[in-house]
Amino acid sequence: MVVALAVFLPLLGAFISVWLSRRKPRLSVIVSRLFLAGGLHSTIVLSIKLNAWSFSDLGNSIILRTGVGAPPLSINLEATGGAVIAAIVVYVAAILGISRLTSRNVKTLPLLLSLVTASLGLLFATDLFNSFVFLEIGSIITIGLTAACRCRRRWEVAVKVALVSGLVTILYLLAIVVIYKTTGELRFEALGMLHGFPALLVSGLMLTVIMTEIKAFPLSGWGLDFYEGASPGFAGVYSATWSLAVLMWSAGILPRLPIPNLQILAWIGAGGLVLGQFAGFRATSPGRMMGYSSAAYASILLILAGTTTGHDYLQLTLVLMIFAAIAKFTVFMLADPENENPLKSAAGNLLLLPILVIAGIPPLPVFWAKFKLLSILAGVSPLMLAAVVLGLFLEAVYLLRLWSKRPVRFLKNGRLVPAVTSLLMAAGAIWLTAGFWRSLSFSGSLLSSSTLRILFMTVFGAGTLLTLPGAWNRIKGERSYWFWMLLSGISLTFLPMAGNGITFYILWEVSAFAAVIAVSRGSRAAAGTFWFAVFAAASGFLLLASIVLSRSMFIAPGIPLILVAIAALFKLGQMGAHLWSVRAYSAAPATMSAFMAGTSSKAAVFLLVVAALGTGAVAMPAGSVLAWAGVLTALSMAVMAALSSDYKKVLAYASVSQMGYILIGLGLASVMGWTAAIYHTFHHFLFKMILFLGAAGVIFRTGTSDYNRLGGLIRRMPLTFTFTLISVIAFAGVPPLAGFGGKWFLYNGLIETGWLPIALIAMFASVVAFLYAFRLLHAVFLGQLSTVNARVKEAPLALLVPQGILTAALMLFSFRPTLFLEHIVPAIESLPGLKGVAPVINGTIVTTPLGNWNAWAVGMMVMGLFGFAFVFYWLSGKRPKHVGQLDIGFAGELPPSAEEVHYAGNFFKPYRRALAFLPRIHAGKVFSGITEVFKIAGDSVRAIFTGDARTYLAHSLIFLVIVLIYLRGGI
Amino acid sequence: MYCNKLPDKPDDRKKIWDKVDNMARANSLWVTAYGTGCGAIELRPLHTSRFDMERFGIAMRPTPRQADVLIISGYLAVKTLKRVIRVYEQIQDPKYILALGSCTINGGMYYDSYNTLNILDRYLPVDVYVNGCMPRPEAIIDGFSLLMSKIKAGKADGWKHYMENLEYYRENQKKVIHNWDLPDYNW
Amino acid sequence: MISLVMSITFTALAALVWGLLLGGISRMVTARIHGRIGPRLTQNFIDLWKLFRKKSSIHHGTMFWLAPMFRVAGAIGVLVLVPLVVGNTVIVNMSFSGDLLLVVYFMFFGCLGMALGAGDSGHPYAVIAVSRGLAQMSSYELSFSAVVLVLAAGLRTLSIEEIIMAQQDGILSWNLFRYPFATAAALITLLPMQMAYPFSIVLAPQEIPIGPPTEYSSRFLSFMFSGRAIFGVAKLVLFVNLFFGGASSWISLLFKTFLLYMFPIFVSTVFPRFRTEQSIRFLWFVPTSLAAIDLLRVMI
Repeated sequence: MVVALAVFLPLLGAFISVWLSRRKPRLSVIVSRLFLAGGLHSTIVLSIKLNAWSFSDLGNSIILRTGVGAPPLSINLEATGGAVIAAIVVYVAAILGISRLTSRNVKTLPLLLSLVTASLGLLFATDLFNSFVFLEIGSIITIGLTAACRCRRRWEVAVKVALVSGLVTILYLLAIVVIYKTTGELRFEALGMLHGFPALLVSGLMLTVIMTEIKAFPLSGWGLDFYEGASPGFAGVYSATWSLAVLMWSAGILPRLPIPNLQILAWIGAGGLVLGQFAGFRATSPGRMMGYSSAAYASILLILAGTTTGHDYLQLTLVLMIFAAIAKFTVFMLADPENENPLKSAAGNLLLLPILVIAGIPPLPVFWAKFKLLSILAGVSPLMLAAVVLGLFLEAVYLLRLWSKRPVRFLKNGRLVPAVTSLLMAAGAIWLTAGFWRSLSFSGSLLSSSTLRILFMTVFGAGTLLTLPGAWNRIKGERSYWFWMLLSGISLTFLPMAGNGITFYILWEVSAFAAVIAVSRGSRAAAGTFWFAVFAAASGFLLLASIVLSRSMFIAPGIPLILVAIAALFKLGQMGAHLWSVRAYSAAPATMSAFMAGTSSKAAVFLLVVAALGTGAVAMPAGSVLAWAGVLTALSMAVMAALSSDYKKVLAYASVSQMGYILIGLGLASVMGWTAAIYHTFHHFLFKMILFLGAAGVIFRTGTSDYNRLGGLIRRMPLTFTFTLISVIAFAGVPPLAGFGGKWFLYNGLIETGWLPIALIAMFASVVAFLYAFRLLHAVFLGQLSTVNARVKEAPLALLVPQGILTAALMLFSFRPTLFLEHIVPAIESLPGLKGVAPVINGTIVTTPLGNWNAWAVGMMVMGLFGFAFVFYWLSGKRPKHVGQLDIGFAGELPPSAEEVHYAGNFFKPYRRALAFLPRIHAGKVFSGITEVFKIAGDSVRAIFTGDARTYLAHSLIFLVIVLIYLRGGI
Repeated sequence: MYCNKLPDKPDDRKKIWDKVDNMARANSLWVTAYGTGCGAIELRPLHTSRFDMERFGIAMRPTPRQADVLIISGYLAVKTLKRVIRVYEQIQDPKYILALGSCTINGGMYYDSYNTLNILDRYLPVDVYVNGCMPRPEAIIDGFSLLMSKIKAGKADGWKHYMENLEYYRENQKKVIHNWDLPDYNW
Repeated sequence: MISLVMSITFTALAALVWGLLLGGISRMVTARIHGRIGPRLTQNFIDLWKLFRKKSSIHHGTMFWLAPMFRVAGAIGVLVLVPLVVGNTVIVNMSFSGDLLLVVYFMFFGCLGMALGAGDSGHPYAVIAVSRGLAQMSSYELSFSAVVLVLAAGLRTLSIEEIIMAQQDGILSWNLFRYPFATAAALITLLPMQMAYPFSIVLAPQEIPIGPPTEYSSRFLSFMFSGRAIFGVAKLVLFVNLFFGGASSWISLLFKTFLLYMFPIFVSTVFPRFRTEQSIRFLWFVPTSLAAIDLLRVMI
């Protein structure tokens, strides 16, 4: 009875609303909602009856017979657990979508209600001919709803849908005829009874029918046109009702197809996924992007059908399909049909969640399914795994592009739908995370040394806490981002506690994407966010692939380790990947830049450390490659920093450059090298945070980060200058401050190992660092104070206090590095597999086989000499007289103005000239070249989607022929 | 933007170091590299091996901040005076002016020119005049040695005079420079 | 402690006197090459005293104030980190507190302070000079780093003390003969280090009035003057230690530094000045290639 109510209540509503909509349109909407609510209630009751929410036993079912006879003559429904859950989604989508769909044409109401019935019918169908009936109803309603508009474009789409449905009908009927003729049955089980030629024919026909219906590549052409052309409201409802039903129905049929080797489905799916997503690369309208994403999910369904069985299969398809449907529904509901430029119309903030859901970012629900799928694929075929990961990455790229185009406005009254769907998605995330909770581990067993673990946790935790106060000082155009920064920071802080790959991956991705969101809230973030998101996704997928490939251990040596190394290089912005870091650091809100450059970049160092320790002993097979990557980046980025004239960009280049030294150290795989790397990691955290927080203060007060518009701020912001000066001296590596130590250990390690060319370039890069170090200090703080900035105030306390704390720490560790090394060196020494000898610490003296360093003595000597010179000057005569800033010996002239006398732009012009012989390698160009290749590939793939319905028919037929030939084993 | 305080009054107390100081000052005269008029052409030979002024410890400095001596090399136009004032005031105490040529004494051949100053002493405190049109390098060296002996005797105090009578000099300067746009104090 | 302070004071004063004397000698030698008589030997002392005793001076801000102190502290610091005379146990200063790398990096301390002061003076020419200077410094540090690596990898030590000890077996054990190409490279880098022509692009009075110290006067300038003199001596001592067998006695130290000091002077007087980018490229390629020969030898 409940099943009948669930299925047929909407139909009843449809009849009533036909009658009502002419007279009382408003009432008809309310009545329809009531009927839908009634149906929803019934489905929920059903789901509770079937115990579907436990998710453990999705096969339970209630059978409903109607009419007089057995199927196929009457309708016979079977509500299984999975189908009921999908039915709930159908109902929710229909209730939420109803106002949007009927706002302009209330006459479509009966059609919508009928579509719900058709969807439920298809979900609950047990019989091929019953399914055919519902498929026909659904297709006809789809055509009707698509065309329910007096515009030519929608009509065209409706005709395409009609033609394709017609072909599908013919093929499906043919299949039914063959099946009925051979077996005398039309239950789904009949498919399994086929043998020989009929089996072959039916398989081909059914596969073509299903792939056309679920819009799997290459038969997805009509679906793309449909999603792009249909009104967003209908497309949304369609994707969460009818499309979901078709997918679930297909999921029921696919494993039953009488194909000897079902894995071929997976290969079709994997190939389609890659090619289809390449094609999606060029999509510009959200509708079409959703169409491609829909094709991706269809391909994933095929892969699932080909590789999994039983319970896994049911669970995975259900989770993937319902959450993708909800997410897609949300995206469409946010799109504004009135706006001609659809990319600018979606509501950006609310859009993010559904997009992240579709892209499968943890811990959102789809991720769990994708993770499980990838784990299964790792056991099936690495090639398929690679294809799927690539496909998913490409999908994520264009989805992120959809989001990163800045939102312009919200829809009117458009907040209820996303609010409800977001709740659903969040609930799904919590529900699934809870379900998988036991597979997470926070034992911290990935890194055996607790000292290093504590060190990294300190860096992450302190970095988060110290940047947080600054997040409240926002400049004009920035939106609140502290929450995302905090989220990113918290997940980072727990990163060292991760006990297995999946936990690590989740924390990693949450931190990365929270950072992406925080960056996107900057005032000029548009340029930076997209590439940041792409590289975050790329490194995420690489990490995921390697975790999946490594199975039981965290990161296995060999290919997984290489993938992880590439992921870490991306994250560190090395070798061209500086593209994202420089853009993101300079586009992000200033405090966020501090957090990213100072704190979250260390996550990649941690990843490398942990990955190298993955097998128990340090394994760094391509250490020299890593070191070369690091040293070349260090040099090139230092030169870029010297020649750049934007405060934050310089700091960004500088960060990437400094990360290079850490890479060299890690690549050395010796105690000395790792000491250098860890030492530098910690101190880079200290001084880069100070620098970026200082920059945040300057930008907050002056509103600009352009060198040409700054200058002379030492007079207005003496404290910020002091902190910046100390950290600059530190990172330039000038004794007696801390930066020298990192270099000293590094060169010791390099000479010890005999990597002299790398040592040479690293030394050169460290001297080039002086160029940008001085330029930074000069252009911002020294020189002439421009009249515009004549009245700026010192930076706010929220920025100064953290800087002060960090500077105090920096000074302490500068003069007493042994306080730090005492703990670190034994910890590193105890790591298995590192070669070389450890530095010996004796009191304040650090000794290596090559040399010695007594930071305390040197520091005291410098302070003493400095103090002596100062006192001597003070006592030896009259105080000098302070003169005005323009009182300079300017050849007897008065300087024209402070701005004209301040020399900051084009600073190292001779250097630029001297470098002129080098070819200009521009990472931006390299990546746009890669993008271009992707685009060309995508273009050639998508050339098959001509937009002509006849082509789509031809695709289906050609596909049928090819499948038949394949199944027959040749012509 | 500019200095707005009167410079400190010079300290006139006699000290035991004075003699040593004056010896050092006399033997290390650093000249501002600034040619105000045609006489600058006669300064060049002083660098050469023929005259070699470095043997007296005389050297050129490209910036007034580091110099001791300002040479007014010949006629001084009103326009140039403005720059000369700024350069002179930017030189640190003690500082000396060596005026070359007849023009600085009485205007020389430009005595009736509308834009040449006739008597330099009214505008800037000249320590040593070297007459002639133009004075030969030997004459300039002679002028330098006169300046040196004045310094040694502690009598080259034009700079003190200038500072004590700044109002008088300023008044005269402003009289000839009609579009006075210099800051009041150029230190 | 007190003996250390006394020893440092003595070293610094001695280096100041020797540096100023060498400066005087250099001015005389230059004058003689020009065919002039030239100044007195003590001219630099007179200049220093005059500057120190000038009656007024100006400043532009805190960093302008501190820069000369940076300069002096940096110069003396380098000097006391370098061992002076082999086997002398009285004047060892701080030479056991750091190795060659520390000295090389500490040499930037004074330069950085100087550059900061120049920046704070607000004079565009001062900063142009700094930009030139830093660009040039980064260029010659490339070849100097190669030289340091040759010594460190060849002698398996970074300690200057041990580098000197390795050269005590007769004149042929000097690094000058052991690593002739590296020594040649180092001598070329000595020229820009001592701001000699053709690399005198920083203190180029004819282009950018005297460069970084253009706004410095009086006592500030006297500090810079003495800083430069001491720093010059420190560099000479370092070079003597690295390539010329160190010094076995004070006499030999004076003699060797004197001879070494003549090299930049002779080059300086006969060459015109490079343009900045010419200087940079020359320093990138010529001395580095020379040093690379020895670097390859060491590696193989």
